[in-house]
Amino acid sequence: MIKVTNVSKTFKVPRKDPGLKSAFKALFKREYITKQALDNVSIEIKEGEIIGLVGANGAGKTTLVKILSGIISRTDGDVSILGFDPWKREDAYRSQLALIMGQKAQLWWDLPAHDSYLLLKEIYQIPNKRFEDNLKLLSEKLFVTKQLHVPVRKLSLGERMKMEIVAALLHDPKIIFLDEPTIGLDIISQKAIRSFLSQYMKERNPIIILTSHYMQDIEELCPRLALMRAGEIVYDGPLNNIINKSGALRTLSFDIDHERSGLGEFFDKKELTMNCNENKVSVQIHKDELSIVLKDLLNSFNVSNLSTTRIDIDSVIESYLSYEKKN
Amino acid sequence: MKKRINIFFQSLSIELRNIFVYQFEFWVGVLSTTLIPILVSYLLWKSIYESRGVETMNGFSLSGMVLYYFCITISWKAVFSKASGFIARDIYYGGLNKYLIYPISYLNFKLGEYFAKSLFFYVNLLLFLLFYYFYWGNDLTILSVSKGMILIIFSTIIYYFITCMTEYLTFWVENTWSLAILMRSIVGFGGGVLMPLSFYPETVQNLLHFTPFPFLLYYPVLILLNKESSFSFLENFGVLIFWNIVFFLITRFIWNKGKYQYSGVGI
Repeated sequence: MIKVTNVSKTFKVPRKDPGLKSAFKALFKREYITKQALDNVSIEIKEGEIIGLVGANGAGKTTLVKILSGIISRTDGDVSILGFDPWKREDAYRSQLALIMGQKAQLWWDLPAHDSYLLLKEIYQIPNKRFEDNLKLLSEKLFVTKQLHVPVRKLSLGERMKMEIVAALLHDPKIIFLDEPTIGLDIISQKAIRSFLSQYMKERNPIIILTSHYMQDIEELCPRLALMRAGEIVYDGPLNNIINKSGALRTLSFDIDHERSGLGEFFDKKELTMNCNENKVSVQIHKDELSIVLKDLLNSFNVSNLSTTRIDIDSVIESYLSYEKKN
Repeated sequence: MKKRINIFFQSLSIELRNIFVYQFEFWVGVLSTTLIPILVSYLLWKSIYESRGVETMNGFSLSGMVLYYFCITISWKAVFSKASGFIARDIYYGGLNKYLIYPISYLNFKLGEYFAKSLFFYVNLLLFLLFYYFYWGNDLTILSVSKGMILIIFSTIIYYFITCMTEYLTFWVENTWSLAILMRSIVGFGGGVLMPLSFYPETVQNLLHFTPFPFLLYYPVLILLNKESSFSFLENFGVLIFWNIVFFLITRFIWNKGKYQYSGVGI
């Protein structure tokens, strides 16, 4: 079980104005700004649960993963994973952990993946039989058996990612951090990896924390979703809630040429937020309120090109993530 | 402990496999690190001896000086390894992340990698000494070479810790390349790589004895070549053990402070 309580993390980042003068000045005196990467984050994840961590770049997803995996320290708060504090980096904890980083290779670049696997066998002290069985099973399921003896740098991006996954799962980890495992991959490779992970989860039942910018990854793999914005978790719950919400919402779009002065007030009264781009206006609205709002709108304003569309999941998530941080 | 030793050898093995991947680089490396130093040192010292018109300088004949220069150059390369900058790069680019996930000691794992790069120079040195022994060397003995090699291996460990100490500073200052070059120059000067320490003023020689540098290279090479040395094998060995403990403790201290600064860039 993972229990994160009120975790915060700040980084000190150097700040420098552009230009030669400020570059020279920085030789003697350097200015720093404090960046709040995580702000009082709390979350609990039960055994066998798979959670999708979604947020814009810089929202704090990767920082959270790095804290949970013991790579970096936290400024404040408590973390307990399977009874361990990850920052203590105990071997007993790290033996049960796997981190798959879509943007960072872990395998030895110039050597065939099989060489790296043999090293991992020693690092994790995997018994011979279990190692052979796992390697056979994983490489067959990911269709990379023939590439095991090819230097990693000679593999395609998709094949390399599959090799990384094999490396991470050889020791049967109980906790798996997947950081953008499908980034940059073609649709076929993305599908293959998703399908493999889905099957693996059913068979082995590990805790998985998946961060991804691809909603398809989240929709297919994660029954639970945590949305992060500016270092905070702004939504933590079933993915189905978001899906249902997207089913209940409509976007009302129209053009308005004249008399737009009272339009803002009109939507404010109805507690709706309108987006205005020149003469094009759009409003997100619950399907049950649509007919009343529409009737009032047509009675009060001269509008044209009126249309309503269903909202997709991405847009609902975007609405969570796009609000300005409070304070 | 058994696991640590096993991981050390696994790391050494995988790094050797890495080195052997680049066939061309390997063989050019063999040529450039053996033939060229011999040729350069021979031509350099020959012209010095000729211009001065002397047979010996500070107890070194021309052939003795060329042999010393070659041995100390190769030992120096073995001690500082070709791995310079590898830890700083791990910290700067975030390569450290993967090692922090593994249930191993980073310091132990990287020592294996460091030794793999040094191993090539140990073999180089031994092959040259073997060749020298059969053609010219009646001074060399198996015992002197063994003692010298043991000391050079211990010096390698000390310099590994010095490398870690300087490169761990990347946790704070991000770029430690110049500091690494500075350390290398200081050790080169104090270790007699530029010229034998007997050429230095006596005060400088005495001052250097308060540092680990002469014990890293100069005296081990004299012992290896079976030459007269101010310190016996055991004395030199004792000094190396002492400095090994000191540098290990400093390295561990810096790591324990620096890990809080690490931001794990790259993922």
